[in-house]
Amino acid sequence: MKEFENIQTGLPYKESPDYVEQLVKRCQDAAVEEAMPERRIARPWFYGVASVAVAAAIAVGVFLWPPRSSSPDLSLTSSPMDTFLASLSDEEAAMIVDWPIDDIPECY
Amino acid sequence: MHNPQRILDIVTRQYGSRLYWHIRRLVVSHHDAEDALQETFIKIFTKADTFKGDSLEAWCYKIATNEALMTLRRRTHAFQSLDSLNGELANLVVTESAPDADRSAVLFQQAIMQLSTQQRIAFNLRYYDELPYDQISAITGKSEGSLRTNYHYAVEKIKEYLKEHAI
Repeated sequence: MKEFENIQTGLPYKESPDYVEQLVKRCQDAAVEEAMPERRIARPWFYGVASVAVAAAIAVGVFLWPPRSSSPDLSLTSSPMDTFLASLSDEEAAMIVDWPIDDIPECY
Repeated sequence: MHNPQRILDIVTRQYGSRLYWHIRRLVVSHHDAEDALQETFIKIFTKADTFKGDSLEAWCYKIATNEALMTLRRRTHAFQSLDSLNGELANLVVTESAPDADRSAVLFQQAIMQLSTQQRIAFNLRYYDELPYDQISAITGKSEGSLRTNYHYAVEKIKEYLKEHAI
């Protein structure tokens, strides 16, 4: 520029254009890596989606609990009493079923 | 919505080196310039949504200038102005210069370090980056008239400094 014609106005530093170009690339890669998690957290929709996912997981968990396999089997055909009665002879079974309530001995 | 990755690719390809040298001229230290450049890229990436689409160049220079000033501010003590770093920056020019650097080039940079921060920014953007005043105004937030004045006084001060040091 015309203001300083008789003087060396270039920068006195040693970094070459090639070096600076590589440095710029390095900085870009590092910046993307560092900015990614921040950006993901900064997105408002991220919180919305995360909240819905957590709520859905809790709802499914509550619905499925307790596990089916451990719930009591209420069907009449396969109750332990039926199994027990089936193992008795007809006479024994009749005695138990027809046992008069008043005749139940006191145990305690 | 702008794609941050795409914007950053364009910025690094078109303005990457220029942004580095702009920061370097302000903070002088290569190490600090590298850190400030990376911070600039992070800001460009994360704030891509806020880019209004006027001038990508001015927007990037604005972020880079702010990062450079923040780097300088970290070197100051409480209540110290950025201009109080001028002497330190002038000494740093010598430390950072290549061993075979032209003496007048070193002196020229030291002369620039005597300017106020505002004058230095205006001078660098006009003299080295050859940006028009309306662009510099968009970057610094100062009026074009005040930037012209800053540049004029900067040139006078540099000439005076060089004369004092027999160049």
